[in-house]
Amino acid sequence: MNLEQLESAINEAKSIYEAGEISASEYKNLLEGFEVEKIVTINAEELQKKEELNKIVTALVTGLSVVL
Amino acid sequence: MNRLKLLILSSAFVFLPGCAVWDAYFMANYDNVEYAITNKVRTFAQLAAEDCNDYDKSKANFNRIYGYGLELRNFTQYIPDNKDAAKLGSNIEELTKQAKDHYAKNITVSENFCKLKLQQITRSAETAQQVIGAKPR
Repeated sequence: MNLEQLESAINEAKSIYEAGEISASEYKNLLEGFEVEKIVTINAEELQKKEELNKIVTALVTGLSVVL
Repeated sequence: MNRLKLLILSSAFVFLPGCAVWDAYFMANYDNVEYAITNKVRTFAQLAAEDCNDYDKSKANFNRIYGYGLELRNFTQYIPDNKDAAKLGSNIEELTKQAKDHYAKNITVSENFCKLKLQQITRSAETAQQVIGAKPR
């Protein structure tokens, strides 16, 4: 999930709410959910960066082991 | 030539932020169980969408999904060097709890809410699954 997809989902929920197809309390709950989704995206990106760095560092350590 | 390689590699270590390198190098490895529980949250949320027109079934489904979310949070929590996955576990548990609590407080819930909430859970679990599945072996 990227932030564009999230924005699209937020707009969809807003349209459904404005059409009266969900209640105000349901819409509020969904908005709280979107906040959590945004944090999930950020946390997932952090973990992904760490995984990429792990690959680099592991390759460097392997390289150093060969050299030394 | 070997000295040159050593110099290049050592420089790379020096120029990368120390803590980030340490954290990344010693991060928790891929865990089958962690991946399986995340997959369970996602898969069950996908299946539960079929029951959204039935309040009782949906309430039971969201209770069950919350159970899986809580299991994910608890499982990831005390694995050493696993704070990023633990954050994701906690986020997913929070999302599933929002839905469970909404059903607990309301005797009528719209089919649209059920579907949209399940989409939130499915998307988040899939995002978490992608990175949990890519952890170093």
